[in-house]
This record gives sequence, structure tokens and C-alpha cells, in this order.
Amino acid sequence: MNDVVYLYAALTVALVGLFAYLAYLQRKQSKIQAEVKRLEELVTRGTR
Amino acid sequence: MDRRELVGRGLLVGAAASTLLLAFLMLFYLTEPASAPPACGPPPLPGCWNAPDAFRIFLFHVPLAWTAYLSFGIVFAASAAYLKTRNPKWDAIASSAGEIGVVLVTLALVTGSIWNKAELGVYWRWEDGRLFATFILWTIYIAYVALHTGSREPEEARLAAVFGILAFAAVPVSYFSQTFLTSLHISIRPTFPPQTWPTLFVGVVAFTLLFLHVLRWRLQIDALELRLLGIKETMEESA
Repeated sequence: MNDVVYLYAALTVALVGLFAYLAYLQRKQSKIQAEVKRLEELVTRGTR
Repeated sequence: MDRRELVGRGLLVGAAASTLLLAFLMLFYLTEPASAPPACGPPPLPGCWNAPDAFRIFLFHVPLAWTAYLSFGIVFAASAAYLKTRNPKWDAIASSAGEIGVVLVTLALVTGSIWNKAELGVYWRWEDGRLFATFILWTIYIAYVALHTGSREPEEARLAAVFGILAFAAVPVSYFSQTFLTSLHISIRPTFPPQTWPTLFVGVVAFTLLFLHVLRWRLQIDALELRLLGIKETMEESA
């Protein structure tokens, strides 16, 4: 087998791994931001 | 986020993205395949590459490993600072760097295994001193991340900081393992084309900038989590 296949395989693994981690961080941030917003609205409504 | 912070973040992201792109282009257009003399093996001979194209894996495998070592160095320094000052900021830096380091070392291990398969025909060899030592390093820092997950109690942060300091001993062991353990690690073979070194340098700079950006982002998420906890506590107290 042509060994360039291994180069592409390793590069794909590295890129997919990095992007998966970045996507995980993005998802986590959005989830917490939404929760903070929801609770802050609840608190504001409660204090009115 | 104020204007100065936004500009700093933009500059860091821009620098990381452009150096990564440059490293990627250099990987394919500047670096030639390593030389492959006809009598290369098997079994592989020193100074000879069985997989002259796959050797380019080295050019992102090494930056991944370098940034993983850097993150574990930050875990060590931030853990020591936490034990000295008891400031939760240092604990957040240590836990964030530890998490990123585990991701990077996992990718370094996987890409290294693929290179091993291309060059030597097997994905993993326990007799390779550096593979073995890096595997131990990986398990130690997975334990560190697990220790840190789900708690912000000062007692657990102190325990994690002690663990973070002790765990750093595995980093020099992993780095120097190929000199003092019986090692068959492929990177010790000497013949690289001359363009390898500038490409490797740009790759290391690119991954370091990416790491700094991700660390900063991870710390922002940590601060957001703290804010959420604060709101929940306030709500519980007023209920």
C-alpha cells in the first residue's frame, strides 16, 4: 500500500480530534450561556 | 468582553489560524518525502525510511506532543501557585491545561501509532520505551482530569494540585525515555530532508498559539460555570 495513505489517515485523525474538542467546548459554552440567561431571567422576574 | 480583550483574542486567533495554514502548506508543498534507499528492509535499518511519505506525520506529531508537554508544564506551575496562594484562578488554569493536554497527548499517541504502522508494520510496540512512557503519562493525566471533574471544593483542589505537581515527573521520563530506556522509537533515525526543520518550527509555533487560544477559551467557560454556580446558590438561598 502506498504509504501516503498513512499520512492522510494521521492528518485526518489529528484534524477531526482537534475539531471535535473545539466543537465540544463550543457546545459546552452555549449550553452554560443559555442556562445562565434562563436563570438570570427567572431571578429578575422573581425580584420584580 | 471589552474592546482590548476582543482585539487580543482576535490577534491570537488570527496568528494561530495563519501559522496553522502556513504549516499545512509547508507540510505538503515544501517538505519532500524522506529518502528511501532500496535496501531499507524489512527489518528496518538505521538511517533509512520504509515509508518516505508517511514520515511527514512527524511534522504534526511532534508539535502535538510538544504542546501536550507544555500544557502539563502549565499544570505543574499553576498547581504550585495554587498551593502557595490558594487562589482559585490557579486551580482553574491547572485543570483547563490538564484537559487540553490530555486531548493533545491522545492525538500524539494516535498519530504516532499510525506512523509506526507505516514505518514498521505494527501500530504499537510495548518494547518502545517512549511509547510505553507516554502511555503511562497519558493514563496519569486522565486520572488528573478525572480527579478534577465535578467538584470545586478547596480540599479537592488542593489534592488535585498535589497530584498535578507529582504527575509532572512523568513528562521528563516520557521525553528522555528514548535515551535511557531500550527504545526503538522511529524518530531517533537521523535522516530528515533539510526542509523538515523550518516546517517543524512553524508547526510548533502554530500549535502553541492554538493551545494558548484554547486555554483562554477554556478559562472563559470555567468562569461562566462559576457564574452559573453563583446564580444557583443565590436562588437556593432565597428560596
